[in-house]
Amino acid sequence: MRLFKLICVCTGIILVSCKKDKIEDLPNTPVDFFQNGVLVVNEGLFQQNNSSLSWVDFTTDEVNGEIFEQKANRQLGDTGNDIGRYGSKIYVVVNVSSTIEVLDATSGNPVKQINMLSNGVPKQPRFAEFIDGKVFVSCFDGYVDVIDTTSLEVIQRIPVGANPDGIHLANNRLYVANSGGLSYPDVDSTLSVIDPFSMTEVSRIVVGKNPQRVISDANGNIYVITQTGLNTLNSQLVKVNPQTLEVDAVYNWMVNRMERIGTNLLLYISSSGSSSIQLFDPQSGTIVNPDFIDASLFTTFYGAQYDAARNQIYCFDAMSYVNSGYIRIFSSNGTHIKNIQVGLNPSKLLIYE
Amino acid sequence: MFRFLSTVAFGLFSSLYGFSQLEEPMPKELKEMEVTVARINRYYVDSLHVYISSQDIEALQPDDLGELLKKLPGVNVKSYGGLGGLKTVSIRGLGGQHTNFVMDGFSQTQTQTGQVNLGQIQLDNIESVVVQRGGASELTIPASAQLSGNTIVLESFQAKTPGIPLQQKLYTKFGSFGQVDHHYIGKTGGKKVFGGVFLKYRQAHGRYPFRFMNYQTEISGIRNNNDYTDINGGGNLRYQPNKDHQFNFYFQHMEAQQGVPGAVVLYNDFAEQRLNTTNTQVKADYKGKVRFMSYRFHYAMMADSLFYLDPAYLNNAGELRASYRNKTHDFGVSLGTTIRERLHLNMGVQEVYSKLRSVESLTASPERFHLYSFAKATYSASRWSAVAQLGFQHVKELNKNGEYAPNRTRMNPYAEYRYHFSEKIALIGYYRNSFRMPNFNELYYNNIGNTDLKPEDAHQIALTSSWTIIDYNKIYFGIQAGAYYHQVKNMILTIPTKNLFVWSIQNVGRNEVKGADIIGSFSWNFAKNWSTQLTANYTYQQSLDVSDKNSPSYKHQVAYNPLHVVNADITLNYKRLGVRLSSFHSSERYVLNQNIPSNLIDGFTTCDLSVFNKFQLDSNNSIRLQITIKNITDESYAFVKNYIMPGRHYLFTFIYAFI
Repeated sequence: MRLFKLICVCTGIILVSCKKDKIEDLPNTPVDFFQNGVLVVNEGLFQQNNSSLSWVDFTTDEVNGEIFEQKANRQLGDTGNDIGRYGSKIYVVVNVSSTIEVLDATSGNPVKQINMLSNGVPKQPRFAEFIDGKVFVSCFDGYVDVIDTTSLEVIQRIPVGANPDGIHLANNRLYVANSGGLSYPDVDSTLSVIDPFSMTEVSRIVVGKNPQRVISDANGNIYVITQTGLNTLNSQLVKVNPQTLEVDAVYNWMVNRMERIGTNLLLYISSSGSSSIQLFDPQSGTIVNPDFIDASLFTTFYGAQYDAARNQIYCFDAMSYVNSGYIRIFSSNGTHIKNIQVGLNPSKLLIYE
Repeated sequence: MFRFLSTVAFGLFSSLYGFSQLEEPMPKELKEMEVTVARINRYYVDSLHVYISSQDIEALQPDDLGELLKKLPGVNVKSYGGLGGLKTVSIRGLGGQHTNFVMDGFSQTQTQTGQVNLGQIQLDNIESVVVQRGGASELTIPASAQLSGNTIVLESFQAKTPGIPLQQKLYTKFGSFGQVDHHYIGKTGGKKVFGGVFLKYRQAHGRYPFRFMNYQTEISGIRNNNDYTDINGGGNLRYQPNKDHQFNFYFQHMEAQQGVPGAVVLYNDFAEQRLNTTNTQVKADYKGKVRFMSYRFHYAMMADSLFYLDPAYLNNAGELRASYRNKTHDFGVSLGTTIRERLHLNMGVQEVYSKLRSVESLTASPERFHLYSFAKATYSASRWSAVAQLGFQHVKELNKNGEYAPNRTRMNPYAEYRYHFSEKIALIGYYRNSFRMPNFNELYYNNIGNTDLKPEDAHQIALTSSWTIIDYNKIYFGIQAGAYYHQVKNMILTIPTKNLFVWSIQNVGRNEVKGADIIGSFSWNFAKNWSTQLTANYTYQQSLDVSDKNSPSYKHQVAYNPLHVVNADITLNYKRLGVRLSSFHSSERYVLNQNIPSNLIDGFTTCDLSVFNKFQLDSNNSIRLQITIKNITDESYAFVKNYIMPGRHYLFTFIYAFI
C-alpha cells in the first residue's frame, strides 16, 4: 500500500501543478450598427474555418470577435483575405472558402454570399477594388472577376496573368499584380492594367518576379512589391510610371509590406537579422525616417492602414500567426498610442467614423 | 477460455523475457517470475509494457493500428479520418517521430516523413502489439528501437512456428461506405522449416455522411474523394536446423490508391487530389547461440514510393504532380550474454542508410547514414534489478544537389530500476534520454526545408507500479499506475514566416509533459459457461508549451493534447458467444497552443459494440462470425479539427481458421 500512496502523492503533485489561470475570451457584446470604430478581417488559419470579423468600438474600446457569426448565424469561412466598402455594402473576400460575403455596411446584416466557383473549381479570390458600380476581384485562377453591385452577380471574367494577387485602383485604372506564385520557380513578373469601364486588360508591364502588393502615391505613381524567392528575403519595391507604363525605379530594400500615409509611404523592411518600419518620401525617392515606428513592439508585423480622419495608423501584429493578433495604434508621427487584441491574423480593416 | 476473453491487458513480459524465438540466457530469479505469469494467466501486471493480443484485435475489429492504439493509456492518436487515411501517435506527450515500430524484429523506417502511417498497418495478421515503456533486452529489438523515445513491438502470425503442419486463416469483411476486405494467411511446415504467405485486398468508396456545427447551426454533408483501395501480399520462410540456429526471410509488397478529401472547408467541398503509395520490404535475419552468447544479424531493405496529384492546381501546368522514392537499407547485429546468472549484458550496432529522390518536386537528393549502437548491463537480484545503458549515435548526411545537414553525434543514457515487493506488487522507475532526427522533408523540402535544423531532444522520467490485488481461480483484479515527467527541447515546428502561405521549419518549440495513467483489469467466471471482463484506463496528461516566456501561449496546453482520456471495455461471454462494449472518451482540446475559447474543440465519447460467436467445427477448424457497430451513438467528432470522423457504421466479419 505504501507504494500506491507514493504514486498517489506523485499524481497529486502533478495535478496541483497543472492548475493555471482561466483565460477569458472577448466579451462579444452584440452591436446594432457600426459607428466610431473599425471592422477588422482576421484571416484565421488555412483549413481551420476560423476566419472572423472583429468589431472594435472606439467609444468603449470593446471588441466583438464574432460579429459576423452574430449577424449571419454562421461562420465566415476559411482565410478571409480582404474587406472593402462600396456604397451601402461591405464586401469580404474569403480565399479558401472561395466566397464573397456581402453585408449591409451600416448594420453588418448579411445580404448575399457569392460563391466564387468556375465549373465547380474554386477561383480562390484574393483582393477587391471598387469603381463604376462594380467590384473587381483578383482570383488566383488567372482572372479578375467583375461583380455588379446591384445584381451581386459575376458579369464578366477578365483574363490576366498567372495567380493575380494585389489589385489597386488609381488614375481610373486597375493595376493587378500577376504573381504566378503557384508555378514557383517559374513565377510571373507582370502587372496587368485594366480599364474598368470597358472591363478589358489594356496593358501588361514587366515589373519583376512574383509581384504581390500594389499601391499608389499621391501623384498616381504605382508601387509594387516583387520578390525573387519564396523563403528568401530578396524583395524589391518597384515604381511604375502610370503615363509611360514603364518601371521608373527599383529599390532593393527587402520591402515586405507597404501603406500610403498621406504623401509618404510606410515601408516594413525585413532582413534576416533585423526589421524596421520606415517612412519613404516618393517625391524625393528617399527614406525620411528609418525608425518611424518602433518595430520591436511587433512579434509579426502584418500590414498597416492609415486613418486620415483620426490621423492615426493601425498596424497589424499577427503574433507568430498562431496567437490572437493585435491592432497596434500609432499617431501619424509614429508614436505608439495603444493596443487592441482582435482575432487570428488580422490583415485589413474598414474605418467607421 | 480466459485467453479468449481478453481485452486490453497489461504487459505479460518483462524486459528480459518475451519475444525472441531463441531464448536468451537470463537471470534465475526472473525465470521463476515467468512461471508466475503462466499460473495467473495473462493479467499479471508486473511490467512497464502494455499488451494487446490477437483476441483483443479480433474483438475490436479496428480498421488499422492507429484505431487500436487509441485504446491504450498515454497514447494520443491524431487521425485524419478515412480508411487508409493518415494516423499518427504521440506516446506520453512525445511526438510521433519519437516512436519506433518494430515488426517481427525489424524497425519500420520511413526517413522522408520520419513516421509510419498507422492507417496503412492492418491487424488481421498481427498476434500481439506491445507498447514498451522501458528498456528491452531481446535480440529482436534492434539498436534503433533500443534508443528511441518509445517502441511499439508487433508480432505477426507468420513469424510464429505453426502448431500443426498447415495453418490457414481466411478473413472476409463487409462494412459501411463500400468497405470490402479479403485476407488469406497460410503457413506450413514444422519446427525445422516452415513458410507462409498472405494476400490481402481491401477497398471502400469512403463516402460517409457527416454533421458539422457552423456556429450554432448543424449542417450535414458527404465526405467526398475519400475512396481507398489497397493490395498487400508477401511471404516468409524459416529454417531452424537446431535450437541454436535460426534463419528468417520475409518479403512484402503493398500498393494503395486513395483520394485525399482534406479538411471540411466551409462553403467549398471541392476535393480531387489523389495519392498513390507503394511499399516493398525484403528482410532477413539469422539468430544463433554459441555457449553463453546469443546473437542476431539482420538486414532489411524498405522502399516506399509516393505519388501525389492535384488535377486542379492553379499553376501554369494546370495540375500539380509530386512523386517521391524513399529507400532504406538497414544492417544490424545484436549480442546478449549472461555472466554468473545475475549480470546480463547486451549490445547492438545498426547502420541505416536512407535516400530520397524526386524528379519533379525536390531539388535536393538527400542521403543519410545513421549509426546506432548501445551497450547495456542488467543486474538482477532476488527482489530487484537494475539496468544501465549507454547509446551512441552518429548521423552523416549527403546531398548531391545543394546544402546538407551537418553531422550529428549523440550519447544517450538510459537507467532503470525495478523492485518486487512481492510476487504481486512491483515498482519500476526509469530515465531515458533520446532524440529524433529531422526528417528529409523538414531538412530538404523545396523552399521551406531547413538544413540547419537540430535534432529534437527528449528526456523522460517515469515511475510505474503494478499490483495484482485478487488472483483466484475464477476472479482476477489487478491495476497498474504510472506517473511521468518529460521534457522535449528543440522541437521542430513548421511555421508561417511571411504570410499564411509561406512557411519555414525551425527548432522553436519546447514542451514540458507531466502525466499519470492508471489501468485496471477485472475478470470473473461467475457461473458455469459464463464469464465477464472489464478493463479501463485513464490518462491525465498536461503537456505545456514552455518555448517562450513572452508568448501568449507560454505554459498553455499544447494543441491536440487532451488533458483527460478514458477507455472502458466490458465483455460478457457465454460459451463461445460474446458481446463486447468498447468506449473511448477524449476531453476537450485546443487546436492551437493558445488556450482561448475560440481555439477550443469539444471532447467526445464513442462506443463500439461487437457481438461474436465462434463455431468450433472440429479440433482444428473454426468459423467466427462477428458484427461490429462502430460509434453506436452516432457521435459527430474529430480528432483533428475539420476532419470529421464517420458516424454510426457497421462491419460484418467472417473468419475461417484452420489452426
